[in-house]
Amino acid sequence: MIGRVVVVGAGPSGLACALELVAHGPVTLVERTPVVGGEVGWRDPFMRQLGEKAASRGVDFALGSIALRWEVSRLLVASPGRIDWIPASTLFFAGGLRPGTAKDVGIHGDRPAGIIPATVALHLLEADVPLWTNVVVLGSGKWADHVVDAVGKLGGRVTAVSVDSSGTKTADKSITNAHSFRAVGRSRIEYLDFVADGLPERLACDALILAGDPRPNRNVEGALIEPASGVVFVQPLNVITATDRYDAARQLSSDWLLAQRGNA
Amino acid sequence: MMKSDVFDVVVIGGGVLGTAVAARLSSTSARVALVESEADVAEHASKGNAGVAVSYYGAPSLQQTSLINASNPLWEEITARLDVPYRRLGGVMVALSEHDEDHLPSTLEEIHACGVRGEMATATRVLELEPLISNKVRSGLFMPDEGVIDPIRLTVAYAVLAATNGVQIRLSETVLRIEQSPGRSLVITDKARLETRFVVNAAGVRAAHISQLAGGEAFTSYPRKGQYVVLDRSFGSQLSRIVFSTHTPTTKGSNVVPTTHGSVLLGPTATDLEDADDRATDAETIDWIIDNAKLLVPSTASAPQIKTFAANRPAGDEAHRLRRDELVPNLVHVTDRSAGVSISPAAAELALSVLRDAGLDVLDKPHAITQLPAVPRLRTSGDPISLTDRDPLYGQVICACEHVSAAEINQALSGPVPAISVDGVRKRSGAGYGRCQGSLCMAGVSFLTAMATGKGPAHVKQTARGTVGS
Repeated sequence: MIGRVVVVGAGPSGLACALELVAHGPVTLVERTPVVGGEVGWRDPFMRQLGEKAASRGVDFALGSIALRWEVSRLLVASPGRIDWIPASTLFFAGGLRPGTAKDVGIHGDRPAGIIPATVALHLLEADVPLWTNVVVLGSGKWADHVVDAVGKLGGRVTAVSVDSSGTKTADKSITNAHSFRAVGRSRIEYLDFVADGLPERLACDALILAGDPRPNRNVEGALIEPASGVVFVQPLNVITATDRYDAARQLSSDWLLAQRGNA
Repeated sequence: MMKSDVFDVVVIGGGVLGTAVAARLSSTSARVALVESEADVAEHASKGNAGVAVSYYGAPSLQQTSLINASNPLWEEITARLDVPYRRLGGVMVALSEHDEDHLPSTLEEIHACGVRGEMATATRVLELEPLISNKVRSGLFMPDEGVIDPIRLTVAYAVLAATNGVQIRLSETVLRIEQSPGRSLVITDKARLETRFVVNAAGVRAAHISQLAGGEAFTSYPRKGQYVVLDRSFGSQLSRIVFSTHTPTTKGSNVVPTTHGSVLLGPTATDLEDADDRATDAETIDWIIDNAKLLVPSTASAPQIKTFAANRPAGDEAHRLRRDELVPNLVHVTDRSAGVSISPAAAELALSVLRDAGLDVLDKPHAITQLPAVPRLRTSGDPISLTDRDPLYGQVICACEHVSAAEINQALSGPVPAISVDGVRKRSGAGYGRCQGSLCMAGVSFLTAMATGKGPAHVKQTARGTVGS
């Protein structure tokens, strides 16, 4: 018996853990938003199917709930109108990834309005309101691709800038191997200065979207840094697609279960 | 012709000193307006400082020192009354070299001459006081009355108290001219003409400009830029004291300061500027701050750095100027170099007595509000489960890193001096202070701010100056 396990995050990783673990004991799945899917999105057929499967196998869902504090054997969870402890022997934390911050990426210079994390930009652009006309997307990878698409759909122009040699194909312009970033603008952002191919460059823009350097989300007190007692972190940095993240998390849960049996 | 309002005192500047003076005046019968050119109080130096309520700063002969001494014992009472985070942690000044050690005795002498508690500490004692300090420490000075405060919440609280007692807080209003007639000033802004008996100049880095507009003394005030690095709370929870560099005759050095939010600030540096709006950080200075902090507290090297920023504090020909102008009898200067937060309670009291000496005949209001309602904070609450009984929105957490709920954010967006931007919400509630720097919560905060300010998603303000959309 492993007792109740709580999984935080209902993206591909969290759903995989819940499905693997629920065969061996009760599982509560805590998710910040009101839907399953995480960053893949609730419209995705694979994610919907995983959600339905988890429900039919008896996973307890706590949607629209946010995990606040982990103390070994219980998790403090807040949801609208209710804050309470969920008893659990182990916390599987699958809180996903976030883009690197201005500090992570090493942006100096001014701190004007218009510097926006990609996760926020995507949320805002989803409302189909054109916010910007001339956007610099800094960083490559899935957030960058999504922002480029969303801005393009609303008629904006996008320049993609990356620190390595991987460009963003769908952008209007793509600059690679850039470094030494500096934001310029006293009220709103006006330019991004940087160095590429040894030469100083200046790009005019009305938004700078931070879309690179993925980092694990860590925001549960008591489960902020590895290792944390009673916590299994399921946030691989280099596993990109939904199915790969699902497979990796399933494997990790299955290995953990084996180790538990070995210990028993 | 714009309409003309009549006041007893117009305070120019919505930083910590301007709002403190306004709060003190608000408990008298004076009719008071506070004018601030930015869209929020607590911008500039009152937003960007290390948040230390110092016990000791400069020479014993300075007026600044007597104001620090008068303010320091009051912090527990004031911050409890105004719902401002404060912790009297004590500070350790660390000597890492023979050269550093040479300066400690004279610093201790000055501390004692100021009437402030301080004692020499051996290396062993220093490491007992703060085990994270470098084991290369040779000796140190312990100052038990140093504390950390949230300078932004303090400034906002002064402004809210002032407004609650009837002070007009006039934001986004720039003083263009000041016309003098005997016993009267006409403060002409881009929005109104404010007729007043007295003008308080609390304009910080722009104090010289305001004095000039009023025809007052010519003095120099200029911006001194300080850069800072913020370390994550996972490190902050381990640090229990403020760690100071050794003061030398030329610099007070860059420090390691726990904040009331649980993070740690490294800095500041000092670079004199001409452009008060230059708040850019640069890589070399930030690297220097990080290297310097490693010498004092080596484990800062492995702590996650979550943010860098810069702010400009006022510098000038005098460390402190709180007195009537020599040329314009109804103009009172309230400016300070570096220690505005630390002197603010006593400076406000002194400003009132200077104004009274100058002829401000006002009485203390017997029923003035002196206490602000405390907003419970989900992150620090000892009983989080009961918070939803008070407001169900405590259960709706918007900022995942700092555990700031929609209830707290709505509080920040309401009241007499509400947040009008995403940054204003951050300043009042802490939403966005954490390690992800808004990548999870900024959309939610922006939505709530848009709702409260009646703006659409493009026109909602991200900072006091700039909108989210273009």
